[in-house]
Amino acid sequence: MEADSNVIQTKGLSKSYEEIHALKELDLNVPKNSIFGFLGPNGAGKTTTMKLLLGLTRASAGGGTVFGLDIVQDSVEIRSRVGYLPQDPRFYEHLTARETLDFTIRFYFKGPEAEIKQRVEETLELVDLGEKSDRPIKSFSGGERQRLGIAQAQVNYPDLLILDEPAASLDPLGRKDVMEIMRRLQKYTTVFYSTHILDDVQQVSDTVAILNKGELVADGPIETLLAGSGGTVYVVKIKGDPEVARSALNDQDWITNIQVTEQPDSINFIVSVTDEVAAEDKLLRLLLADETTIVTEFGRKKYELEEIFFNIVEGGDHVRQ
Amino acid sequence: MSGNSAFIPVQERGWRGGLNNMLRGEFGKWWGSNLWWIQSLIWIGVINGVLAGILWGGEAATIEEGVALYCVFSGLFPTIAIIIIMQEVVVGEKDMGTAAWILSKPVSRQAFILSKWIANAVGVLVTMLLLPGIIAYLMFYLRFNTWVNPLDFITGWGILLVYLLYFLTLTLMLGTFFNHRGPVIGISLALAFGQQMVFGLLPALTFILPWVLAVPAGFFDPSIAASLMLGQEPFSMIPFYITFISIFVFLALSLWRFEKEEF
Repeated sequence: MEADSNVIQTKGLSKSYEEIHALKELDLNVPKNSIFGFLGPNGAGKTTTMKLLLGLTRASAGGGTVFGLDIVQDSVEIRSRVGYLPQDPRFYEHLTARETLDFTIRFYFKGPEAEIKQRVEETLELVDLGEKSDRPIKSFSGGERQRLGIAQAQVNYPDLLILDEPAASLDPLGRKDVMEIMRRLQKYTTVFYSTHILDDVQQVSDTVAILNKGELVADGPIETLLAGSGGTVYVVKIKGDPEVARSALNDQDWITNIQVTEQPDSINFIVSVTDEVAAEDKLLRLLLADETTIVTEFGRKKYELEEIFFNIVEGGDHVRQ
Repeated sequence: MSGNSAFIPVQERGWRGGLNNMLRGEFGKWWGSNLWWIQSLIWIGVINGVLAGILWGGEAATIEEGVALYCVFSGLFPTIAIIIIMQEVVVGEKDMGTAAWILSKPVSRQAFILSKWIANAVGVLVTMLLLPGIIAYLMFYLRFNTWVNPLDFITGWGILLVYLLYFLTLTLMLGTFFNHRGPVIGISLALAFGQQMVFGLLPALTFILPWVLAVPAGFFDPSIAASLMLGQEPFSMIPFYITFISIFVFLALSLWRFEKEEF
């Protein structure tokens, strides 16, 4: 029974290996039909989380649900609705890609035979392995194994796709294809994936969580995260005397910091504020009070995900939405 | 993208989750590849070849001697192959990462272990016991011009099967306890071929270890399997009962240990 719109929910999910805390009290909510990017440096606990959700490893404390089903008690039931791509996909080397998909799909469906064969063919085409489908896997390159991994993860059209570094060993074209497949599948399924490629996350994810040293340090809709993590910051580009503009802002108690950088064709003001309403209302007016100042650009600072990621991972910031 | 409504879903859940497809896959490894006929040829060549040399070379003068030697060959020789095949079954899959892949599908850990056990037991039964056994049965007739009682022969086969299953299950179990092949092969081989060495020190072990099921222990002659094949009363059935129970203890331990395995 699915409790609500969250496909994955964990509460205090923890995993320790003797003295090493791989995952510390993870509270995670993955909304239905989201493309949920799970970020973090190596060893942050991303793969451990995925394995815990699939019952491949056991929690030291806490627990969780997938589709409202307990990850320990109902593991087989959960896995009947999940597709999983491991970080380093391994298959039976003597089987061909077609045989691998045929073997995989029969864990979910026992017939009809024609439908099974058709689904296998469709899936091989989807990942561009149609022409290589009868070659033994031992002859496959890393990229081809990754494609097969994606194929076997979604051959049953799962309600939840868990992908551990899906684009890791793919070339740029392959990566683009994977992102496209994920976008296409979003209509039918929830995609929970980990990656190091932040550009991909920014392109396809609607929700993001950042894990560092086993702790969840940021999560929420990507738009909210991109809007900023260190308070509200405005970027203003002006032409005119920077000292005049700075003095206009100096005495405002809702302004906490002003950084000025001079560019060849403009002067950039990075203004950190504590009161968003006051900033919206007064910031532009204060600057324009001096008639010699021309504002060429004004708006809230948009962060790149990479910037946020490094701020959080290296600076120890915590952002929870 | 069409949905899944046209498909008939698999209904197995709990410990049976994925069992049918696992069995299909495991049987496929034996019967869908070269493995079955290669193993059959090897064991027909080894067991029946050596037996033929002895039967027609003059070393086995009576049918009793022929049957006793057949039981020794059928017990001891295939044990090496069983240990080599079975050490790969769990340790190999853990090492390769394919066990983790399979268990990310709707497959219970019990189904994983049981499918390996059942499919390999059938493979061993047919290629290492049944086919060489049928040929041996015909060889006894050709050499001594008399049929061994078929029911007695089948009963003796049952004893030999238990002997082979003991090592098959032992190696499977060791694979669930260790992550390296060394201890799995080493312990299994040591037990398979070293057991008779301790009988002199601890004669009681004759009744606990499976050796005497297939091989005369020196002071017990012939083996239990050979006695039953010849329609004779074996010296004791206790080793058989203990071996039979051990198989299920090993299997239970395999299931218990694999349930705790982390990937």
